[in-house]
Amino acid sequence: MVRNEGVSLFLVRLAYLIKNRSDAETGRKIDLLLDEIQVGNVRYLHLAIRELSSPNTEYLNIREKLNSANEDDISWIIKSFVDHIPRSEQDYANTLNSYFGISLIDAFLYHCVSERAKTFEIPQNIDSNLAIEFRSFESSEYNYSYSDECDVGMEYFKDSFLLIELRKLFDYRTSQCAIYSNDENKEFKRTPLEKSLLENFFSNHNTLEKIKELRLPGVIDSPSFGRSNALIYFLEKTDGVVENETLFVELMSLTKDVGILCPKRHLATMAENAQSYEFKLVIACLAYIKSRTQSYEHDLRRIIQKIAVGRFDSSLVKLLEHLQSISPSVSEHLIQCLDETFLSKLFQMVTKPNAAIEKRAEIFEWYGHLINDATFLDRAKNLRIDVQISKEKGTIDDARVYVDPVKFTQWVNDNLLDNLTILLASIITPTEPTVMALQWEKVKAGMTELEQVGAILHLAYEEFCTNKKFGIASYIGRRIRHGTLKGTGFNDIKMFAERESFHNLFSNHEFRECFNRWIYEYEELFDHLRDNYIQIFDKNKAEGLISKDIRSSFKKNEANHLLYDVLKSYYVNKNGLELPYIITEYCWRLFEEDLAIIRKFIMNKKAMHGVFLCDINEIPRALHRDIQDFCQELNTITAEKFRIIESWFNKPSIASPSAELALLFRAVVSEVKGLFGNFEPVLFMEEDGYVIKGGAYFVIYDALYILINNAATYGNPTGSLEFKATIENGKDTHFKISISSDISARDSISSVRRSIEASLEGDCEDALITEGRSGIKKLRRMEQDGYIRNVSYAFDNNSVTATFEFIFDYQS
Amino acid sequence: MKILVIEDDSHKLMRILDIVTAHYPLAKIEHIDSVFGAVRYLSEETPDRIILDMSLPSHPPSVGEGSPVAMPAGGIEILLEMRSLRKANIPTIILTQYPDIEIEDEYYTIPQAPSALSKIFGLDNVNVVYYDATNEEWVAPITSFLK
Repeated sequence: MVRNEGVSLFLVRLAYLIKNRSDAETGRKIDLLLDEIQVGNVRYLHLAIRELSSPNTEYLNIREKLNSANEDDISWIIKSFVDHIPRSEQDYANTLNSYFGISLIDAFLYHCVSERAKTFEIPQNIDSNLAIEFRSFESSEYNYSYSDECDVGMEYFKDSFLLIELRKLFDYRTSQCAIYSNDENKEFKRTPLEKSLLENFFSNHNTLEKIKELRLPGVIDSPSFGRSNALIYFLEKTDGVVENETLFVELMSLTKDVGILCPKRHLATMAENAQSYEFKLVIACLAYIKSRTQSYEHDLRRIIQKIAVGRFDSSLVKLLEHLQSISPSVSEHLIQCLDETFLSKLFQMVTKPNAAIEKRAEIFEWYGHLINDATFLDRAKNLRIDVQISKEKGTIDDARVYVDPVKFTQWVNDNLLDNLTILLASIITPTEPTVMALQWEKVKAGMTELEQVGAILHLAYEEFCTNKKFGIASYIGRRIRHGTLKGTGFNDIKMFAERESFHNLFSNHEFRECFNRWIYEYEELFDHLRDNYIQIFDKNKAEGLISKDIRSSFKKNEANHLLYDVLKSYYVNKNGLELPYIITEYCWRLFEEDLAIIRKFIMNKKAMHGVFLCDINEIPRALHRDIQDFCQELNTITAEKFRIIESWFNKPSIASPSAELALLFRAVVSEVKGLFGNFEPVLFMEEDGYVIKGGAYFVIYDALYILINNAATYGNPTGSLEFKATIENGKDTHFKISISSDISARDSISSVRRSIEASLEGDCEDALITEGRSGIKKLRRMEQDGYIRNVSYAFDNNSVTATFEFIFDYQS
Repeated sequence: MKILVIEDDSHKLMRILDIVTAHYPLAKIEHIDSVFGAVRYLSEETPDRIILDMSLPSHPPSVGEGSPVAMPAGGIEILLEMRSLRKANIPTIILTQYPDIEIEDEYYTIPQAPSALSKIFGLDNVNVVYYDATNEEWVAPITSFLK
């Protein structure tokens, strides 16, 4: 390949087949080889081959992207990768010509493969020796032992694209492609060959029972992929009529992508005839997967509520438990669906926003216990902490800035994730990633894989800001600019000035002129805010305060840590499941700078234009007092209006949680007070203003909870409770946090010391099990696990001071 | 006549109430400011007319109770609920401050929106009017709707 300084697409396909089915070392050699032969010269074709065959990509997503390519020479080849059957003579001719432009062997092989399809008569003008050679080649066997851990059918299906010339792989791919597509009319577009192959493959699987036990002809043992296709074929044959609804529900745990593959008309038939509520729920889920519309989402929410309220005492956990016993995948799908935003819209069951978070916490807790996964239990606990903090804040959360988290993560999944995971897989990291600084202004033109990852992340942030349906631009437009900005800021001022009680004042010419000048500028201010400033910066909105670029040092720093977290997540998990959520979290962090800029801008404008002053020297003395009262009242109103408007430009509390350290302390004290009726300590603390973001504050909350709970349990319930937090720099930067509490009157300091020292010794492995949430052993366990460090106790006459350190990595 | 006004903007609400009470002083007016409130109300009551904002919060904001979800198409949610409750025949007018309405991920101008709502959701009793705080052009369609 190297010697010939060029290669056919056929050999590129073979190279990927070898790479995908070999060890990592061989894979790297293949990558080097592909670099050497400059496969980048056919970049788009090369990427298409890579993505269609990669075990890390979602095939249907890639297929859709490739199918929507523009009609040019390259795209004919791309489309033949996705659909190897030429549907017309013109298609065949265009594709053949395109292959001729790449290489003669590729054109020859395309001709030979197309001939099998027998869609129409193809001219036979191939050299007979070549034809014999091809027939000998096409009958070769492809034997590969797939690992039990993968979906064999899907892996084999992806491989069949790479070696389509082999007859067996051609037959398999032809039959499966005819079904495995989201084309609503695939049933009506099939060629006689496709119909015949489909019938051969699935004729013995004409009942749901047989689909459940599916074993395809030949060596291919294909669990979910094969069953999914068999199920869709079954629905075609029965026109969407399902008699055994229970078995259909069970099959949801043995199939995948049914919502995408099943035509709408069959879903509609099933919905119309559905008898059991489990089946109705499954069909509603499938319909929503198929079409993420307001109508289907509403129907799904309606049916969930009807079932939960009618049959399970409004308990979503009981509903999930029931579904888990029939079909675990249905339960798991619902757990994914039932995020905080979805739950907030279950209006029959969720009366307040925090109730949605509490329900989510219940679901996580149940699921964590079910599958014995502590991360879900942690997530449940953290959500409850968020509710507690929200109660402690005691504010009305009226942030108007918003991004629809479901639609944004869906966009990331659909448009970025496949490319991102391919790039991440190719970044060789034998050791754990470290934080690296990219030149974010230049990533879009970057050539290295890291820069390409950076470019994708940058694109995500741009979409987060600019998408007019679910991004900041949409909500800024609808909820602020076109909503109530001018109404809130201006209308009351106008009405105030029109009060009858001020008619006397306004009868004075100088005062009236002064006020009219001011109100004109004041009104203009809101027009400017709406039209020029509260906008996304671009060449049409050059004064826009929201920037989708990553230029400031703050944003660059955040973006570097986003990159680090993405690399780390992939390094640990080797899949992209967490990535959309990490990206969403960091987009909010990036955006926080713009929110701060907007808030400051608004208050500056308030200082410049929001205060009405009138020079009273030219005005009769008799009116001076009235003018002063007028100005005072008016300026109080404008101050309030600006305060309200400024408060809109905060991150909503459900996005990227954060909390002040002092607020954490107060929230824990409130929670403990709720458990101990007599716990009324005298609090001492400084409002340090330190804000902790992300997971870090849950750790600090946990540690504080242990210490304060102990103080309530063993100490003086009405004594002093002092909280101190300082930042220390040394080998690393960390918080030093201490809680001092008075000991109980019935104890002596020496007995308290002995008791604490005894608790600090000994085994703390089972601290979580035997002591629940409280206990010094749990504190030690947190220290051993690396969440906190340097736990120490100091004792003086009648008080105990517990101290710990918390290192902040960037996430804090 | 029972009129339900679903609106979370206090200024716009005041203007609406001024117009309604001026023209229909005997009408019984109910005001709701969130999707939650509207859904709960409509499950039990049947007003004669509905004046509906499009962009609404999921719940009324309340001290220490968390952040309501912003629903730019909250009005659509209420219309779909009405359809489920078989109350889609209640004459409804959407009074929106935005020049277009998002329906199933597509934007429709004010004139296009009623037929889109009819075609897509089967909602035949919905009209749409643009609300501009700086003029009174929206008043006549509202008073005519309430007749």
